[in-house]
Amino acid sequence: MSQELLHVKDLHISFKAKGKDVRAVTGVDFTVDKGQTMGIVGESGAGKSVLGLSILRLLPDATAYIPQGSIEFKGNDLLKLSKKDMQKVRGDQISMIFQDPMTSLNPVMSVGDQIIEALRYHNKDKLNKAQLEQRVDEVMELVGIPAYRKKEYPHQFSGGMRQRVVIAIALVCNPELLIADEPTTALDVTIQAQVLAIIRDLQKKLGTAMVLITHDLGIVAQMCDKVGVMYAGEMVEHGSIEDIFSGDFHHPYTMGLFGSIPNLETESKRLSPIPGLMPPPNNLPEGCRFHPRCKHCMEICKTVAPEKYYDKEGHYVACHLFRDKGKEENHD
Amino acid sequence: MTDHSKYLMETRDLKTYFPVGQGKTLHAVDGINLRIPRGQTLGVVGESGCGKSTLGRSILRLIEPTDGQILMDGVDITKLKRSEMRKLRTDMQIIFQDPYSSLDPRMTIEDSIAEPLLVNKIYKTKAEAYARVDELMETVGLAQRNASLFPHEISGGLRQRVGIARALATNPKFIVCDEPVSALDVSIQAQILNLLMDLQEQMGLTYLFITHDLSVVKHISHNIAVMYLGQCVEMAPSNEIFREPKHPYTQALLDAIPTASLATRERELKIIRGEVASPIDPAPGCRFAARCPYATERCRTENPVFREISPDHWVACHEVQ
Repeated sequence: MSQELLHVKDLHISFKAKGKDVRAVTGVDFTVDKGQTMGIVGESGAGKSVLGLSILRLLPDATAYIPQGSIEFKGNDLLKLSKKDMQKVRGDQISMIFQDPMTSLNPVMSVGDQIIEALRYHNKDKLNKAQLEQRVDEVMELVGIPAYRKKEYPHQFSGGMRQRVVIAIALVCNPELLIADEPTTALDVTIQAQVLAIIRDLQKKLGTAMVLITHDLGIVAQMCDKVGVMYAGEMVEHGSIEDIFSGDFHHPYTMGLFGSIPNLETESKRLSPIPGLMPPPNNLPEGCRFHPRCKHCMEICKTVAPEKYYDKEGHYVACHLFRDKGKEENHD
Repeated sequence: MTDHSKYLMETRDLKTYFPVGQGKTLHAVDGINLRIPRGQTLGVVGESGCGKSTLGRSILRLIEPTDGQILMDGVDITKLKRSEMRKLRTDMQIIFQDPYSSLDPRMTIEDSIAEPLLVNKIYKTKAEAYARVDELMETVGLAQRNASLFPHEISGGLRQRVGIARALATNPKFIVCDEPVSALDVSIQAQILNLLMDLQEQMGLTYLFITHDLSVVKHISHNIAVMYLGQCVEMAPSNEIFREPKHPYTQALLDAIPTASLATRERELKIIRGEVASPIDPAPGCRFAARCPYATERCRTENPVFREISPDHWVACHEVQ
């Protein structure tokens, strides 16, 4: 009866750079059920985008490799698929919305042609030309672009409209999973609200699951069912949206993120930022990767990487502070 | 009569137009009236293309305004000659958005910070200037070991600190901060915001703080001005504008921010339709009328006047009483 759609298990992603290994992602686990939205939050360089790209196997073969772990989609390990089989998955069962609609569209192809491209490539239902065109019209209406504009080119659209085109392309084959990498970061707030509302409506209508990569905790609060907080390539906290946004069982980094955003509802005189910077992936500290910036740093943090400590099923924190408070992961 | 001792910076009907060919004109800044009390921060918010950066640069005359007055300490600087303006520039500085492109990649950190001191001949000897550089670096939280590094060797947050040190070098009274934290990650953003607020307290600086991020602007500003298509639609004390936004655009803007709490999760966002119109030869009437849920016939024909509806609360809208 499992509703599980995506299961990322102990995923490690490394890059070869100047003969050395750079570890961009280490030991990330999470699952996404049908229709669910999983948020991945963190700052630049935390490995969020690399993680998103790896699910579609879009990382450059020449430099990136996956030394360990699996990405199971409906029970099949995507990492074991042949190139050809992977192409059948991309854009059909899993598709992607990129951050920047200015650069992710082809400037010399009309938007209608770009939407139809993915559909024509997969064409599971053996639609004829007229039916394909009709499907394009449908999808465009769905994302709120009048169908008569399909002959136009990307430069004739505004940023918000272009992002709708990108969403239409991603949705045209009715994928089961959508990977959205900062889908509204390039947009203004009022347009961002429009685009987020469209994504949410479509998810409800079509039952699409989503991995939403963002740095904005506000978007996470509005859109996600569960959340993974990433820091320096690791998922340091994972839990349901309620787990992350309430209670006091939190990773110090999660607390730091919340302390850094000015709150609109309450008066705060000073922000409490996290001192220092995220370490570069080619020079990670020993022990807990957050320890040089952590105000609760203990001796053990400097040498031993923390386990995942759970306070309940599905909510863990990778931090020594919770050694006694939480239960250690039970391997079953 | 304005009380010059209270307001450090004031603009009167400031306009900056750009010719865009074929006899058309882009109205980037179209009749802005602002007042910034000494030692305070005026936040300017608005979406891309609303003219907020042009406003910031026009006030410093980095872009020559087309019309209107800019009163700095009671002196209309639009009338000043180049040489007079140059002297005044030490009092008026700017911090740019992008710490990656606003520093010379071939100059070390200390040389970058020393540049405004040397250009303005503030010290007689280089040694004195560099002593001041050391002092400035300490003020903005840059470690001495960074002094001889180049911009590409330091992080974005540190680069922005260099930008701030440069702006502070000449002991200005007034600083335009043009999206100074937009390019930074949240944890670094908070460090820079705290620094700017500390500096204001220590040195009595007056800021014009331009940003598109409403939570940032609320945090740092005493007063907030909301811009839409080259015009200021509302200006009020920070708390008041968040508590009681009067202009429909301000309301829409506040509604559109996703807040980082679960309380508002199930709330249906009130979303304004449509997009910002073109600032090229705008039609008469309220610029927001096409997207405004309350627009009447009058809004489409008559430009609303920017008026004070309660002390220090200014709105440009026909429908607000």
